[in-house]
Amino acid sequence: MRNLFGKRLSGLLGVFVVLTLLASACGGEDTTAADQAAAEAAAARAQAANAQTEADAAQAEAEAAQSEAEAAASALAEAQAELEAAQQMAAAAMEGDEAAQSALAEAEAAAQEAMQTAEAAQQEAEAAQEAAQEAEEAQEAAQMAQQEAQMQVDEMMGGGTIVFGGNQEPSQLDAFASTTVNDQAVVAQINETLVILGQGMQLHPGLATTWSLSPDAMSLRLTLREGVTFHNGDPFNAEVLKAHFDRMKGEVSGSQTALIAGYYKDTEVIDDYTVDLVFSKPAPDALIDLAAPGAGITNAAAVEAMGDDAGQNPIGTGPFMFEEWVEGSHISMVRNPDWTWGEFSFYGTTGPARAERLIFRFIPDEQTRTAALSTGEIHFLDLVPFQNIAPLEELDGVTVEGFSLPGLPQVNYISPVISPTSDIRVRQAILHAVNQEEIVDAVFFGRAPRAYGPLSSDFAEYDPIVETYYPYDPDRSAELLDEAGWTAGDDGIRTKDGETLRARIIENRSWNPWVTLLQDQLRKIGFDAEVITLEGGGYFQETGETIFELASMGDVFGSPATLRRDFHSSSIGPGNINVGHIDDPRLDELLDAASVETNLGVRAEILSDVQRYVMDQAYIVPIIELHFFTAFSNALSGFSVDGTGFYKYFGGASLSQ
Amino acid sequence: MLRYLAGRMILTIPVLVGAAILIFLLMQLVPGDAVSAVMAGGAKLSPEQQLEMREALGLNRPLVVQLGDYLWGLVQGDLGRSTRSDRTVISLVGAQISSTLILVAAGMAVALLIGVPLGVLAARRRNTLVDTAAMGTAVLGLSIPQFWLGLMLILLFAVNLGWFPALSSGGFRALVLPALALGLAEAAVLARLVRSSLIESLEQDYTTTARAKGASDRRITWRHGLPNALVPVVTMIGLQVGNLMGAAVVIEMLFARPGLGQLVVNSILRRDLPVLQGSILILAAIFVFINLAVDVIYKFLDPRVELGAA
Repeated sequence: MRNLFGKRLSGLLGVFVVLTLLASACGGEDTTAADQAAAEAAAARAQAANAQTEADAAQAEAEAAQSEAEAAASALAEAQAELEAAQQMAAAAMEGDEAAQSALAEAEAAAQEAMQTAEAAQQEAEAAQEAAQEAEEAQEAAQMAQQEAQMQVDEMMGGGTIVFGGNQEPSQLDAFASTTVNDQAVVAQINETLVILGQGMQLHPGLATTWSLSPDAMSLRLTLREGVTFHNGDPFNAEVLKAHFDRMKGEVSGSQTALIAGYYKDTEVIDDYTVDLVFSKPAPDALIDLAAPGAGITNAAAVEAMGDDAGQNPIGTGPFMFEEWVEGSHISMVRNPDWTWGEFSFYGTTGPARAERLIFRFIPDEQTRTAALSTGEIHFLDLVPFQNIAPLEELDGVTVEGFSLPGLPQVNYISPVISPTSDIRVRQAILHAVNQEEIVDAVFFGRAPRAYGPLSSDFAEYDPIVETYYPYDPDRSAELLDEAGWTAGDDGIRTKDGETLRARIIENRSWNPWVTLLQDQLRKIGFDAEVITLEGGGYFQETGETIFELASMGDVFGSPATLRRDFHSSSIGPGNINVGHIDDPRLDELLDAASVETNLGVRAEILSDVQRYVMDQAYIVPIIELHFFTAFSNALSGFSVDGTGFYKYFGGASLSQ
Repeated sequence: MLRYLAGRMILTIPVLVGAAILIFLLMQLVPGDAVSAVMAGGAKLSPEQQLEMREALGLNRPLVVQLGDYLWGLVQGDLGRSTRSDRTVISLVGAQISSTLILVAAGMAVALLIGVPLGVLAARRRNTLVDTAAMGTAVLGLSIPQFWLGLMLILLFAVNLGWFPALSSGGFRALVLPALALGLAEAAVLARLVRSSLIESLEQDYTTTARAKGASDRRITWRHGLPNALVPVVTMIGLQVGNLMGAAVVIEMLFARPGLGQLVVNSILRRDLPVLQGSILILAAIFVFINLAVDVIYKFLDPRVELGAA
């Protein structure tokens, strides 16, 4: 028995050893191949980096050559002017005498000199132009080299499934009818827009390659990109674009669509790839409006064919195609193999997408979302809660990035309609009593900058003068309230003629976390401050119907004139942003003027007036400028962020294996 | 028996109708409706568009008409359509229900597998340190908020140890943590019940007889004591299923697990009344059905019981 056992054991051992050797041999090969690929990828990357630096240098040379050419051109102009002057003198001298004769000779000499200078300048200009030409060619070559290097990297790094952790499930995926940012975050991967708003408010070509807004901003000429097809094979052209915009003649419920429908009139087809969008009133911000994912171009014919199911089966031209939607769990998209028209300056690739699959996972609880990033179940996490930023930063293999969202900062409107805030002294007292620094530290862990006015500092039109208004000065608040006749009782709460100094702060749950601190700060100067919490639909209904002293709100937009929807008297009512119920004709006038002004300089002046006026009237307590933090796995790279900081695009994203 | 069953089934109807009316009234008390929920998400609707939308959804009709219309549809088996996506409530609920039922079953399994042995242990070692420890654990299990417990389980087993995923979608491994979070509180309830029920059963005459006949302790406990002790436990299980379904809502949201729980929460946030009513009615129907099954099983377990007796 023992012998048999021993034989069996050694037999087993032998098999085991052989198997292990085999396995390690196979595994070894894979490792080497992977190493090689990684090395090649690194080499390609280095090449691309070199090409980039060369392109940068060429760019700099081109710029230098350009300025030289300009200098030469002005020298030429000067020389010509001198020539003319000399000629005039010569003409006058012709009618005269000796003095005139010598003057003529002088003039001729001067003319000669001028001519020579002009010629020299001319030659310099030509040389400079040639240099500029060469620099441009060098840059193009460098870009081509970069693209080729990138394609090599793509081949090696292709594949993988990127998982994005979102917070709420979209309601439907028809871009045209999309209402929430949850819808639009997904739609942004499937449908493309005419133009793309990049960081720094720069516009990149999308489905339109060139654009030209008429001087009166009443029409927009677009040249459309050729060779683009929808996920179902239909071609994209002017007719299809017109059909998309014609959808506005029917039901308009999408949030971005409603915005554009406010000024859109018609689409004129000039030829297969040229259209004119015609507006019913001046729309200087049309391009920015068209860049939002909610303005993604849909296939109107396909939408109609699908009827009610269109929202569950989106068709677009984008880098990812809809695959399936498992309710309550996730939406998955696959790479669109035909997508080869990606805008390199925005995506970092011309396509197709590097990742094979993109999954949007909905995770309602924010702690679970953060946990899922730590375990590697998701690669990208948006809306990191402020208290989780520091712990995530310390995590290995995770990068945390902040994005500022331009627009109306997070504020509390101080309603001028009801007492006690109808008295401007009371409003000013509130402003002096709020300590934004304390809020930034305690509630936002120092991660978001405080706000000073109705426009966030991202905009060029931001007027820094608002930073001088209302410094933190609770004594001044007390003075103002005393002046206004509000005297403090034994409990510290102020009253006047039997009325209590009431301040109801209403918040949209989880969006306005500073309100309890605000309540505390106002109590200190004698306000009977209370916090009312509602969520979502209830919040918008309530604030639209009832006027509260201090309603919390914020807004995100790409173009500063959109501020109109935050303060205009027409923007009052359930679902609208003017929750302070501000009805001020002077302010309405300024906002209307800003929204149709086509001269950017004049518009900046009007907006400056708006900012000062709002703060003069003490209509808002600015709290912080909205910042979102995203956290992502270090294995994920190459995703793009739009100019509002809101939307992430994964056409160029890849996952290292 | 058949008459009893038929009678119970008929009684289900007023229960469900009552539930439907209650939910309807509660929704009217909450500020905002389906249209304002759409606007809260970012849709910019003009007052005319809002009116149109409300007309289309029938929200402008008098409350009595809306309720009557819904109940009439209910009688015909039509649960209506979602106000948000216009899909039939039946299709929405049908897609999610199996996930929730699996979770509830798993939670119950956890409760039984942990609660019963714990209760038996405490009963056999009653009044000793083991008993105190077991019951102390049970009280702890009852007191810990399930949401917090779920978060702690994620932190320990998913983030730190990596044994199970934090997100629950499909598969067995993804079911473990949610089932634990759901079932541990129930385990505590069952443990206490099993303990007291078993103690009582062990004090009965038939136990004394068995002991006199020379049966071992183990035989007495498992063969004579426990089967009788489990009868009230079976009844309890029927009631606890209701608790589990309610708790499943919270657990599904925490673990991002698809199911009726998520559907219920989202429909409340979206003020999607038909979906909310449909989901809760289905859950109520399941609850009633399970309790009916439990009563029938009770009869088989204990032939002395007369079903329908006062």
